[in-house]
Amino acid sequence: MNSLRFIFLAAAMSASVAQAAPKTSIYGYVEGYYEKVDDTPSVNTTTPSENPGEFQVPNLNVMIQSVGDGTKAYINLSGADAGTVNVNNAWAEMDLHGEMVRFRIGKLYRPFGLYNEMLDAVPTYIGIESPELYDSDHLMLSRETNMMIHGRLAAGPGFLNWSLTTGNDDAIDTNTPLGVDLRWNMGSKWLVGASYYTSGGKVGYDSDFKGGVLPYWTEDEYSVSGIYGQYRDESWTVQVAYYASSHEGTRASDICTNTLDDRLNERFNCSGTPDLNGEFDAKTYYIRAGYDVYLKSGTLTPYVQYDYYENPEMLPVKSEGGDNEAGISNDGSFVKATLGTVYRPQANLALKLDYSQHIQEVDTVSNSTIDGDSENYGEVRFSFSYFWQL
Amino acid sequence: MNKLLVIIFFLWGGLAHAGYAVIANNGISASSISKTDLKNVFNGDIQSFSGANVVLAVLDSGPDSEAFFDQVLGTKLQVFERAWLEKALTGKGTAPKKKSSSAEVINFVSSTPGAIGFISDSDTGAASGKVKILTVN
Repeated sequence: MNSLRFIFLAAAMSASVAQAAPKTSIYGYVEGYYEKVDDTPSVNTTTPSENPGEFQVPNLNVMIQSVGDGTKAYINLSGADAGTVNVNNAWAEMDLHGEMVRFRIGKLYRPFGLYNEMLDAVPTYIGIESPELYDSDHLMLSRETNMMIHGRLAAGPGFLNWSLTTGNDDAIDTNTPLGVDLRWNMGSKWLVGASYYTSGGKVGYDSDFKGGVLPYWTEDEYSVSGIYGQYRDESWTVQVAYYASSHEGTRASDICTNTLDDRLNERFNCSGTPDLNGEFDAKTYYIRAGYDVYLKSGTLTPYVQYDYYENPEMLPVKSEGGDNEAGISNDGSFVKATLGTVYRPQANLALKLDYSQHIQEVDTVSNSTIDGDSENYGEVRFSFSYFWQL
Repeated sequence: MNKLLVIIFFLWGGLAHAGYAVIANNGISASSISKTDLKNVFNGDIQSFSGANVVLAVLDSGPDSEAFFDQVLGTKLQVFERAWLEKALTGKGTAPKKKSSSAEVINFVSSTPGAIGFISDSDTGAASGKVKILTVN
C-alpha cells in the first residue's frame, strides 16, 4: 500500500464532493510556542546537559472542509514557514448507511483515545503538551492511517461511536494493521471508551513514519490497548486514560555501540554476545483536570496534569532514538506533574502557561553526583494560538 | 395562597421561554422542533433536520443569547464555541456563524437553505414572513 495513492484517491473524492455541494469552509490557526527545560542528567558524564530555550516561530495551520450531501472532504495543512508544508490530513468520506456507517479514505488521524484526533486543535484543549502516548519521542503507535469505516449509533442517553482503521501505518507493505476505537458519549457530560491496535505482524522501523517501532529495532510485532474516560460540565473537565503496549521482535545488531548505561548494557548483554531477540511491555496513564472560571474579560482555566510513562527498553539518549526521560531512569519510568493555566480573552484565542516537574529514579547513570538520587527537573512552557475563519 | 402559587407558576413558565425564539429557513418543512432535537442540532449531534442539511446561526453574547444557551443547551456560550472549534479543527463540522444582532440572524437564515438560528423574542415581528418561527416543544 502506498500513502501517496490514498492521498490521490482522497483528492479525487474531494473533487467530486466539491462538485456535488460547494459548501466549503476555510479556516485555521496560528500558533507560537516557547519551552525551557532545566539541566538534565546525562549518561556517562558528570556534567548535566544544558537545554537551551526552544522557541517555535508561529506555525500556520490551514484547514479546508467541504461538506456535501452524505459526503465530506477535509484537508489539514501545517508549516512553520512557506518552504515546509506538511499534509497532516487529506481525506474524503461518504455515508454508506447514514451516520451509522461511513467510509473515509486518504491520510487521516485514527480515532484512538481522547487526543489522537484533536492534537492539532490547539486552541481548544487544556494543557500544552500531548499525553505521553502521543509524545513523538516515544510514540506507542502511529497517529495516522489511511482507511476507516466508522459510524455512530444512538445508545441510551447519547451515542456510541465506533471505528475500524487500517493502512500503511508503519510503512507496512505486507501486513494488515488494525485499529479499533469505541467510545460512548453518555449525554453531554460523560464519555467512556476503549481502543485497540495491532501491527498485524512483524514490521520494521522507517524514519519517514512515526510509529510504535523503536528506531534501534529491526522489526517488531506489537499491540496497544487501553481505556479512557472524560467528565465535562460547564466548569469542570476531567480526563483519564490508561494504555499498555506489548512488543516482540529483534534489536539492531549494533545495539551495543549506542551510549548505554549499566542497566541497558546488562539488559542487552553487551559484555558478551548481544541479545538481539527482545520483548518488552510499555505502559502509560494520565489524569488531567481543568476548571473554567468565567471572567468579564474571558475565561481562565487553571489545570493540573499527572502523566506516567514506563518503557524498560528505552535508550537514554534522544539523538540515538531514545528519550531523555524514560531512557535515563532505573526502570524506564518517569512521572511528569504539571500545573498551568489557559486564559481565553475570547473563544478563538488561547494563551497557555504551564510548569512541569519530571520525577524519576536515577542510580545507574554513570554520574557519581546523581547516583542513587531521585532526580527532579523542571520545564516551563508558553503557548499562544489564534483561530481564524474566512 | 393558591392564587400566589398560580401567579408564581405562570411567571416561571413565562420566564422559562423568555428571551429567544427559534427560526428556520422557509425551505424547512417542519413547524416545530423538540427541545431534545434542538439541543442535538446546536451541539452538532444532528446534522440534518426535516430533510435539510443544517446550517447554524447564533446570536452573539447578550442576555437573549445567554438565555438560549442556558435553557436549551444547559451550558455557556464560551463552552459551546470551544466545542465547535474542536469539531472544526478535527474535521467534524464547521463552526456556526455568529451574528451580532437578530436582524443579521434573520437575514442569514432567510437566505441560507437549511439554516436554523435563534433571535431575541422581541424581534419576532421583524422575522415575520422572512423566516419560519419554530415552536419548541
